[in-house]
Amino acid sequence: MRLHVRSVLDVAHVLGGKEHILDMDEGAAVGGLISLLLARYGDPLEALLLQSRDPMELLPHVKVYVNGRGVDFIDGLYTALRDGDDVLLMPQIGGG
Amino acid sequence: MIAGGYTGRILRANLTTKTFAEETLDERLAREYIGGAGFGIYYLYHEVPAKADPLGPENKLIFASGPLCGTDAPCASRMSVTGKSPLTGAVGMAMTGGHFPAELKFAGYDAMIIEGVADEPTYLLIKNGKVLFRNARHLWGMSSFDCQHFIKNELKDEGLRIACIGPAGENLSRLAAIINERHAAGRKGLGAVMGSKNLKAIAVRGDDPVPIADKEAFTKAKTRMLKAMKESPVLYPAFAKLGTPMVVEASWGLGTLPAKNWTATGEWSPNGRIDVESNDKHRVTNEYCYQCPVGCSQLKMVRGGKHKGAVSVPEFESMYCFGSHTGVESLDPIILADRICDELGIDSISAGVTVGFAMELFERGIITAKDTDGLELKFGNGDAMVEMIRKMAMKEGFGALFADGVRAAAERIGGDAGLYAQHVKGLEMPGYDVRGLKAHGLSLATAYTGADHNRGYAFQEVFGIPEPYPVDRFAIEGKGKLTRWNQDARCVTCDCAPMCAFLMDMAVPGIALENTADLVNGVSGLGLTPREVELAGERVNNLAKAFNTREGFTRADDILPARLMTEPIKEGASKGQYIPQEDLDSMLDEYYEDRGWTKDGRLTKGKLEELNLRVVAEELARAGLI
Repeated sequence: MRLHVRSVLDVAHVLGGKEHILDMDEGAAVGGLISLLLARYGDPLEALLLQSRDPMELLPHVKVYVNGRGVDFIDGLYTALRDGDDVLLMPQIGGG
Repeated sequence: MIAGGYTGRILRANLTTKTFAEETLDERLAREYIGGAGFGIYYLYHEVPAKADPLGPENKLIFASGPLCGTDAPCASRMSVTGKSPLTGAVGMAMTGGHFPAELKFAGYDAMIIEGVADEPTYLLIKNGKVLFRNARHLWGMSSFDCQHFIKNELKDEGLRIACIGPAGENLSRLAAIINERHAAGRKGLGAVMGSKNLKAIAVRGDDPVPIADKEAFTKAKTRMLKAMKESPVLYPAFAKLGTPMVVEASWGLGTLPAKNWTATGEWSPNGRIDVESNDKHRVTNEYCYQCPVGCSQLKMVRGGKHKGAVSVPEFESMYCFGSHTGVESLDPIILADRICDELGIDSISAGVTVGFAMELFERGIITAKDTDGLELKFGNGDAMVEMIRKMAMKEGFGALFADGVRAAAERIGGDAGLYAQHVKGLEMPGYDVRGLKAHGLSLATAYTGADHNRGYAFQEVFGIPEPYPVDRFAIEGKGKLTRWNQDARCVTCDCAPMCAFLMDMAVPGIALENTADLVNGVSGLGLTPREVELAGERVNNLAKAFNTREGFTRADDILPARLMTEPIKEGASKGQYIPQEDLDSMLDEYYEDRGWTKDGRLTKGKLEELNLRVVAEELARAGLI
């Protein structure tokens, strides 16, 4: 399946851009996507996203959205992904 | 006698008689309203009669800070300006920062109440307890920046801090702002109220430090807050370096950046146009408010092209109102538009939103080049935007038609124009497409000032901050209760204590009320509990509601623009989202119930008495309003 992965600020810098198209096997979940990204981008990305790698736990201020909805309100890192999904990795932002 | 934090004095200046008086701050007022917006709304309710003409002699302007302002509590140089809004007819309250608020305390006053109308252009000089009414005929017509410079030069005092109006305020544009330094009490047309009083400026200077009641307790509270700021995952270095334009990134991510008068949210991309990278290329330096270690204001300059050399401090809202909202793709005209708004003294958000509204009317053929003095008001035309803003502030040519905002312009144009006017209660919409941020939408619908993002900012939805609890931004249920908390906690913490609103989100969201209580108690010795602090916020919001009730506002006014209630967002991460009437009704029902109001949104005698607002309850009961 093909995913639209987006991010901003430091996370985007590490990924080399704000928008990416990624192919993954059917049945993958959000946790699997993050593992794939960690395998490609290593420690710099882990430092920005994770509190713990095993078991995987996001930093409290990092939010992941699938098709606009926070995964905290779906199935967290177990949220299933489908072809065409839009996944947003969002570090904390403030102001406004 | 309050032991510290407050100067204990309120200045009342009458422009009609050119007289002034000092009043003693009542400790009950301090305990129940804390300061800032609390003081402003207290005096507005009790001293400005119902149905007063906002631009007439009965309206007043109340400038008020709070007990933390002028101390070395971080980020507390904030001040409210309150009056009846000529833009909305409701409570007009706007906050400003910089150095003027602290200087007013050093000059000896917790608040000043401006009343009457001067018989000629006048400015006030307030210096260490002396108050002078000075002729301002030679300043009339001057830009806000020149006015500040001229008064300092004339009085040979570079240390003066000055709040003033520009030509927009003099011309009684209902979008006019009050400018101090590069800051603004920008929204709700309070600059027009100042203009209606023939008051060009207020210059303040003082040398009296603000006394601290309990230095040990204050230091302890301050240390905890500074620690929270240091531990924030975003304040340093990101926010200090990038400032509020960071929010462009969140809005793009969430698909909530309104574009082209809210027709193209999620379709129009800010990337490479108004995002943080684009902003950073124009950044010159940071500017700091008094006792702020962050310095989020980013001074930016146009570095080439026909606007080369233009300098301003455009915030996120400027990226929205002059950028995505108008479809303008370059920062250069945005920086220039922001500069012109400050110079001419017109609210940037309302001005930009009004331009975007006019652009949609132009694209639809509702107005043509014959109506716009030949300007091609198409989305994306930055030059036309800048020229239209100037014409609005000067009420020149077709600018006069739009100088009072989108609601007034839609009424003047007639037909379907009102369908495209983005406002609540007459106040133009800020830069959050709340179709994808439901609590934020409910707050805009119910805030006592109209579509005002600062009265109940739903940081839980915009930034995912899980305080006081995490929320799903698309959900309807639970948003009434959350909005009540956001409005009351933010009111007392940011608008009354006062404190920069950004700290509420980024440093102390989980301890906001406790933090405010400890800081206020440290400086004042008032001994307030966090619950009493929260109740003060609730009291202020209820008193503001009472003012609006007296002016005729009802549940029918707690509504969102038609587009947001009928047209789903077409693209992006909020695709398909909107707030139909039944969803708004559901949220309003929950909100009113949590507020202790009736189902039709009316205040109740019981709630008002619970908040020690018995006199207000009696007055509204006599008028048949509760």
